[in-house]
Formats: sequence, structure tokens, C-alpha cells
Amino acid sequence: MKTISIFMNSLKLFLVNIKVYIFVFLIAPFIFSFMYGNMYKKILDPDRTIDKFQVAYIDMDKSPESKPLEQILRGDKLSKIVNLNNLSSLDNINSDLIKGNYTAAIVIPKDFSSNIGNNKEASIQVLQSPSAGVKGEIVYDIVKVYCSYLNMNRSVYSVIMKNLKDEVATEKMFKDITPLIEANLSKTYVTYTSLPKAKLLNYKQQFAPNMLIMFSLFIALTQAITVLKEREEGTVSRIYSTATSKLSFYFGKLLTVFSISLVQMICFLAVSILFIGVNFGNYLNLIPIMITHAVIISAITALLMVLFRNVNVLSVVFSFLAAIMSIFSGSFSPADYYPEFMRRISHFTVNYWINNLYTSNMLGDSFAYLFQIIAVMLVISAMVILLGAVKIKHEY
Amino acid sequence: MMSILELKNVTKRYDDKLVVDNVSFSIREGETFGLLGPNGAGKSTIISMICGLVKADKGNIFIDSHSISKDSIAAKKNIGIVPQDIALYENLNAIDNLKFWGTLYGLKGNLLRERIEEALEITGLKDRAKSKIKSYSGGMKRRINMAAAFMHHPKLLIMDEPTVGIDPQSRNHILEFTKSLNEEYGTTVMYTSHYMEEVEMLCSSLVILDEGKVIASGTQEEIKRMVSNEENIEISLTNYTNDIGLKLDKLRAVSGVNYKNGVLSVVMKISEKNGIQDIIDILIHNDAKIQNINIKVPNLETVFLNLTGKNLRD
Repeated sequence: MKTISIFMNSLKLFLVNIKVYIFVFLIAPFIFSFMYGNMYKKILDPDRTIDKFQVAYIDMDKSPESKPLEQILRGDKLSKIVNLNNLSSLDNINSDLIKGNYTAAIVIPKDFSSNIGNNKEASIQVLQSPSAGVKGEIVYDIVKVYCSYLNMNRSVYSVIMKNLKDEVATEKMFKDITPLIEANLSKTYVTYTSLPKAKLLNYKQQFAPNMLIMFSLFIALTQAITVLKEREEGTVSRIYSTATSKLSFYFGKLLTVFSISLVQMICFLAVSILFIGVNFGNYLNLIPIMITHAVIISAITALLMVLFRNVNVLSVVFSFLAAIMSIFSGSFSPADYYPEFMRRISHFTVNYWINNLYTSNMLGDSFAYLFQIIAVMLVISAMVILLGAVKIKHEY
Repeated sequence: MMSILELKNVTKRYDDKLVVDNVSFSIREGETFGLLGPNGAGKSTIISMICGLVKADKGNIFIDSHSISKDSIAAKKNIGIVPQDIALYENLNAIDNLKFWGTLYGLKGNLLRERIEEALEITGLKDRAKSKIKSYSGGMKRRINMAAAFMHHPKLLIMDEPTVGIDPQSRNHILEFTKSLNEEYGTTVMYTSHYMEEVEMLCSSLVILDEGKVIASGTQEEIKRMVSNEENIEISLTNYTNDIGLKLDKLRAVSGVNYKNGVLSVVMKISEKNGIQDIIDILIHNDAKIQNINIKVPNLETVFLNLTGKNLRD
């Protein structure tokens, strides 16, 4: 009963400044997670698609040797990234390429097929815009492969001609053999397997739990400060002078911290899910995760309550520690890109382990895996809270 | 009458400093008891030990026969403490504060509501009940501070310098309130103060502490007699003659006579019951015209000065 009275009273005191706390514990972490997520969006969620680009196609030969290239470029797959523009002449092509109107231009000269027929050197010209980059390389490689195909056919024709020494017979045999060659060409000797995507957090998921954890540490700080101030103002002594046990006071305060933390988490998750669509994973798993998180914050408050006697010292020391722990655990930049030693140090922070719970759930890990971490953290927190209780009970 | 509070050979040391040295006293049920002493005399430490906030190194403290060290919860149920500093939640209003302290003292339901009403009534703060304490004047805060300690009608109300730093009007209010608690509710009051006149006005018995030791204890009269059993009577008169002086000198009750500038000073033994009557009779029969009589009784300030050689507020 006394514990509940102390809890209710602490809650009333908390609600006196509720507007400030809504900003500090809800809006601020939300804004920060959104801001940092967007800052690192390109690193965390790189755009792996190629934008459709313009290619000028100038076929001055219009022969059976040149036509298939156009068909290839207009095929199902390439037409997703290549927008082929047939041009009749080379007029202004250079200036258009320089301006970036076209990424590349494919020029098939008038004598292309006749040169092939006469066994002369035949070439297709590929012009690239200065800003073409990898897109220009793609066009060049397609044309190069096509030319290899033509060269191979030409080689086959030459070998037949050399052996038969009769143009008519050669033509006939070449016509017979061409379908076989093409059939073989379409056979694939490359095995293509699309592996499932690696489990990675997206930019929305990366910072949301980190910011929630960092700001929840400040709930522990503000509540520990409240207790220290009460000590300074004499209300704690007055409470102890009533028929109220010290443990009622202690657990009443911790119950307040637990409740405030839990409400903060629920509100933060709701806002993040509703407004920026953060996927926190399995909702049922979130219940034990949030309870564990709130118990840890309560344990930290217990530790601060019994270790510190001065508000200023507590504020400076714990703010510094919270900032350091948050930096190492990746609250301000993705921890996966940290050097190895920083990632190892982060394992010694409470942020890392709580964050591990949220991110594991986001990545779809099983409850059995989460339970191992939850159990260890609850045991450690319970031990800290009990040690605090022993210290409070015996202090005069 | 049984003792509501009993201290038996209580000693407290902070490091090498002995702050309370083998102190023993008891407070009878229904009395208003004063604990006097200069700063550093050990008053606050004794109060802290009574409230269970500080553990005595030696000795025992019993509140209504419950040992504070062995059965603290039962012992504390009988006390209410009015701390020297305002120990209230200033961001909450008076009702919330009273509700909180009342609950901690074990009140609930209708009784709690009634006691909140009563507390607001006797403090005269009913119209400010919903204002935050931080908006109150110093005197108003002191009154709520007291009311919070009295809500559960404790057998023993401990008041640790409750009038420090407040205006005379609020001070009078607190003194009247303290008196009424004792008279109307029969509450035993333990009162500490620097202000001697407050203790003289309120307390029937008292203990004087200095440097952690009890240097005097008993009723006010008993303590005053420890330093003097004489009274100094100053009589402003006209028509004084040397004959009057000679006659007064012969009285058994009188141990000294002096006339100067129209004022006759007579030192009289307190033990002589008719002394003052005899003096006045002589003056009247010798045609002296009495204009004013002032009996100077030693006050606690002079008692303290006599016992310790220093002022109480040193």
C-alpha cells in the first residue's frame, strides 16, 4: 500500500512536467532516429537499380547483319534499362552526347554488311557521353558480344569455304549449320542462382531502437535526480520518519521508473510504426523485450540512487557515460561500419544488449534466441535491484 | 502518567566527535516538552535518532514502549515530525501533499478525506487547497508542513524549530496551533526552538542541552531555581524615606534594598510566600506612592547563560 502511495506520488510529480517529458522522451528520439536514418539512408539502403538511359541507334546499313543488334537492344530485359532511339543520321550526335541527351550512340556504318561479306574489316562504333559511366560500359559490352557472334559466324563461313572451295556449297552448308550454332549459343553454361538477401536493417530500423534506448537512459537519470533532490529537500527523511519501510520507498520509486519507461517505449514504437513505418518485427516478442528494457532502466535507476549523493556529480558522470555508451553502440552512426575494436567495446554497453534484442526481433530471430538474452539481462537486473535494496535498507 | 518517549543513556558519535553524550530523559503523555540548546548541542541528532533516521551508538529510545531500533515501524506509528525545513512536494498542491503524507501515516478512505479537511481547516488554507505549495508564503508552507505531521493525530508530535524564518503573524499562528493540539487533542508535543520565549510560553517541562549533554532538566520553575532562588522586584515610587529602606531590610524575605532615581530595587527570596505582601504593606504605611511594580524573574536565557556561560543563540 505504501509502495503504491509512493508510486502514485512520484507519478504525479512526473506528470507536473509532462509536456517537457513528452518532448524529451518521445518527440526527440523520434526526430533523431528519423534524422539519422535519412542521413545514412544511402549507406544502409543503397539503390541497386539502374535508371533507364537513352541510347541513339544509327543503322546506316540496315542489313540482316545489323538488324539483330536492334532486336537485342529492344528485347525484354534490356528494354527495362535502355531506351533505344533510332536516328537516321549522325547530325548533332556529338553535341547531344556531350549535353547528356544520350548516354551512348551505336553507329553501324553503311558498308558494314558488305565488308563482312567481302571479308574486310567491319566495325560498329560506340560513342559514349562523358557522363555515361557504367551505363556506357554496358552498351559497349553488348555491342562487343554481338560483334563476337558475327565474327564467330564469319570464321565458321571461312573454314567451310576453305574446305569446300565452292561458294554455293559453302552457302548451303553455312545455312544448314547456322541454326545449329545458334541453338548451341542459346544453351547456357552458366548457372545463375539468386541467393536470398542477407538479413540487414534498413535505414528506418537502424536508429529507432538505438535512440529509444539512449533516451530511456535519461529516464533513469531524471528519476535518480528526483530521488537525490528529495533527499536534499528532506522529504526522504520525512518519509523514513513515518511508519514506512525504506524498501517501500525504494520499490515505489522503481515501480515509477518501470511504468514511465514502459509507457515511453509503447508510445515511441507506436509513433515510429504509424508515422515512418518502422518494422519492429514480431509484436508478441516485443512485449517481453520492452518489459526487459524497462526492468534494465529500473535497475540502472536503482544503481544511480544508491551510488550517488550529489545531483551535479550524477548528472555529469551519467550523461557522459550514456553518451559514450550510445556512441559505441551505434546511436549516431551504423555500428557495422565501426572499426573492430569499437564493435568489441560496444559489447560492454547496456545499449548494445538491449539494441540486440530489438534488432534480432526486427531481423526475425526466434524467441528461443531472444529468450537467452532476456533471461541473462533479467537476472543481472534483478541482482542489481536487490543489491540496491540491501544498501537502502541498511543505510542510516 | 506513563512516558510516551523515553531516552536511556543515548550516545552518538560522528567519527571522533561525540555529539550526544549519554542523554537520558522522558516525556510524559500529554505534556508539552521543550528541548533547548544552542547550535551543535545535539538537538537535531536526538530528533533524528527518535525518528529512526540515525542509529544510536549506545542506549535505547522507546516510543510508547516500542524500541525504535528493534520495532521501528510500531514505534514510528506514534509520532509525527515537523521538520525544521519545509519537507513538502512544492510542485504539488496542498491536497495532494496531505493525501500523500496521510497515506504514509496509515490513513485511507473517508478518514483520510476527513483529516485532509481538518488539516486545511486548522491551517486556514482551505481556499488555497488546490494551489501548488511553491506559490505559498513561508508561513503558509510552515502551517501545511505542521498539518502533514499531525494528520494521523500522533501521540507524540515532534516539532524541530518550526518557527525559523517566518513572519510574526505566522509564528503566532503556529504557537496557537501547537497549544491547541496539546489542549484540545491531548497531543504530547516535543518542541525545539532557539526562541526562549516560545519555549517559556508553550512548554511545561524541558531539557537543556549543551555540547551533547543534558545540563538541566525539569519543569520551568525547577530549572529557574537551579540558578537562583531570588526575585528582583523593581518599584517605581515617590515619597521614599530611609526609614522605609531600614524597615524593608528587616524583613526575612528581603535580602537586599537599593533606591536610585525613583526606583526601589528589592531582592526577595522566592521561598518566602508573603514576601511581596509585606513589602507593599510597609510602603503603604509609610506614605510612599507606588507608581509601578516590576517583578524580575530569571528567564531561560539567563538560566542558560548561568549554566553554560554563553548565550543560547551562540
